[in-house]
Amino acid sequence: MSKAPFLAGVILSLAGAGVIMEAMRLPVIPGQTYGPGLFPTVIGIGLLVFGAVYALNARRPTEPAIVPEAEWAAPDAEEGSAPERPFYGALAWLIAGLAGTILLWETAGFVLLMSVVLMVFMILLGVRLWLAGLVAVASTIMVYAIFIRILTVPLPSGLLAPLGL
Amino acid sequence: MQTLLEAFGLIADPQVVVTVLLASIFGLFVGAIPGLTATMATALLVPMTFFMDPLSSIAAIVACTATAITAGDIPGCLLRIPGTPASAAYTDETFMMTKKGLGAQALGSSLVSSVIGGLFGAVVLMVAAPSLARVALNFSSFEYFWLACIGLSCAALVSASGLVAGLLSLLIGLLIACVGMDVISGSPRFTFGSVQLMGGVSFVPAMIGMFAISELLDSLLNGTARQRFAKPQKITGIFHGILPLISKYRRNVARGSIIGTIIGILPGAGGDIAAWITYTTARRFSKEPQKFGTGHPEGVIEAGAANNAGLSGAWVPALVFGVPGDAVTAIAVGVLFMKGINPGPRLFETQGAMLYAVFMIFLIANIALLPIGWFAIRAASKILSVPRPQLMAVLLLFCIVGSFAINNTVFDIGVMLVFGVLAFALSKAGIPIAPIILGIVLGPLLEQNFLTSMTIADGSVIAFFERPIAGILGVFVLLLWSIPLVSAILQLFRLMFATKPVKLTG
Repeated sequence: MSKAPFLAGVILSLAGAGVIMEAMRLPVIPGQTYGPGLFPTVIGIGLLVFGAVYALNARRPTEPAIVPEAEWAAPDAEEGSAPERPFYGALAWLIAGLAGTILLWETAGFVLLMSVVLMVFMILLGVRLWLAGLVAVASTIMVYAIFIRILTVPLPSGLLAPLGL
Repeated sequence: MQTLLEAFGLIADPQVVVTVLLASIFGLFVGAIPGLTATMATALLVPMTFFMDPLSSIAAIVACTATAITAGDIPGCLLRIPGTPASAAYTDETFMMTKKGLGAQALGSSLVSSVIGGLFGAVVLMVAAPSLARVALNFSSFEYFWLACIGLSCAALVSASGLVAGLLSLLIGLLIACVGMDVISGSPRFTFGSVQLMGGVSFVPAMIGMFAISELLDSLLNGTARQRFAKPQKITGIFHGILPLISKYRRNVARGSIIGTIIGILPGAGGDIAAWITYTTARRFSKEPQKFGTGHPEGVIEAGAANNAGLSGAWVPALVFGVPGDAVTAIAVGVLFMKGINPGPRLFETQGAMLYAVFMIFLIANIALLPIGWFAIRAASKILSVPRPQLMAVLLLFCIVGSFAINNTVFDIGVMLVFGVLAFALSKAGIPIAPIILGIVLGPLLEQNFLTSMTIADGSVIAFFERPIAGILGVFVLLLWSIPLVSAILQLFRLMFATKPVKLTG
């Protein structure tokens, strides 16, 4: 249960140490007591200390939180209808799709790229093929038109450029 | 008077009117759908505001958040799932009312009290902000340093997940603010040789990642991504018998509005926290506290007024000092900076007409809540029956386009992805996200004013307390910091005394 907080605390604490080291390498401005390294150093120390405290707290069985935080937690998960299984496929696709989007942005173009990413995303969530395709293509073209024409954002046309999109 | 007339002229602009209307509808939709929060709505709205003039963009944010917070009550009441975190405090109560057949009364009373609370907060904003700004004109870097400290301290102190988690979140935000060229010396910090990072982490993609992408990831992992909401019953006649009810509980409306506004003004605390606190005060001062939790409107009315009042109140420090009161105003301050407008007391001199126009937008947006809220409740079953996978796909599309459109670079889509995953991991580890934005916005303010002050004072710490207002603010900050320290010491004492008997018996 408290594995995630413990890990997060450790990672943040280590990151704090890294920040301090990096901050020490920042130049000192002659004639001034405090240079650009001061704030990163303070932040690094804070992360180092409080990350450790957080990790230690997580290992203790009693959580010292004061506020009724249980009531804040994921409202969807709490109530009623049985929660479904995690959608690992869609999750992996979302991240892979975004990474692919970044890589192929200019070459493949906005409409093609987004249509594919969104369609597969919806299919992985159980939407029927034709509906997923329709929603993906229609919404992508609509957004493309709005951003290109009205807001003049240079979204790339990519492979579909010959179609005059 | 001249400025007032000018302000009227500004809001009569059709662009502003259409923007307010569209933003309200957007806010209504986002607020009514569980899992989409008012902050997320604001983050997604920002790329659009980039193409508007400053007044329209602020108007869009104001209208969108006011409707989102109010519409958030609807699924809470009908399905026991709060639409936004600000409604979570009284979700159970309104759901019990619906079960008792009082659904119309629950929604009607929360809507009307929301409008009153929002208007009260807006009036306080109109009165307090200009006079505070006159005082703030004399502020130097010392006062601003302390104000930034107060904002950051409050954000950590009132964090619902505990002080340490709040502090960690703040520190992450401050660290992110450090990335890029240092403002004083111009030396690059934490850029890892990347030219794209020289100008710092782009704010909007980071916001979209933290509030929208992380939410998408979360719903995929929770398995709620495909879940359909139960078909809610149709609610009609929400304004029937509401006025007598509100006047019966006018004390609650008044208290909710006042406390909500004050909590909103406090930097770092917003409508969510106001709703929790006022729901508790309503119960404490009630003549019939035993009825709470069984479907009693008293707490709903008080907290409903408070979260909307808090929303307006949060703009006071944001506009007067540039120190945002909550996550939404933090984004708004960021938007103003991007538009070359620096929030602060000078704004009241140079842009007086625009500020009065913003105030009027507050009044209009809150009054418009009545018809919009009525419409939202009528259309609730339609809105809630939107299929989730398709909704999430469209949301993803807007996240990507929005992140790209700010600077027209693909790099920002990467920023969005990284921050989405980061925020998702942090929230899984129990670390709240909202303080991160406050850290990002307040970081530069804190650092610049500290370094400027140190240069002026020639390294003497005493100077931070020498000016009267700076002295008061400084002592206040020290008191704030001593609260957790004292309580930690007390806890330590208690632990020491608690462990002794165990040792004796063992």
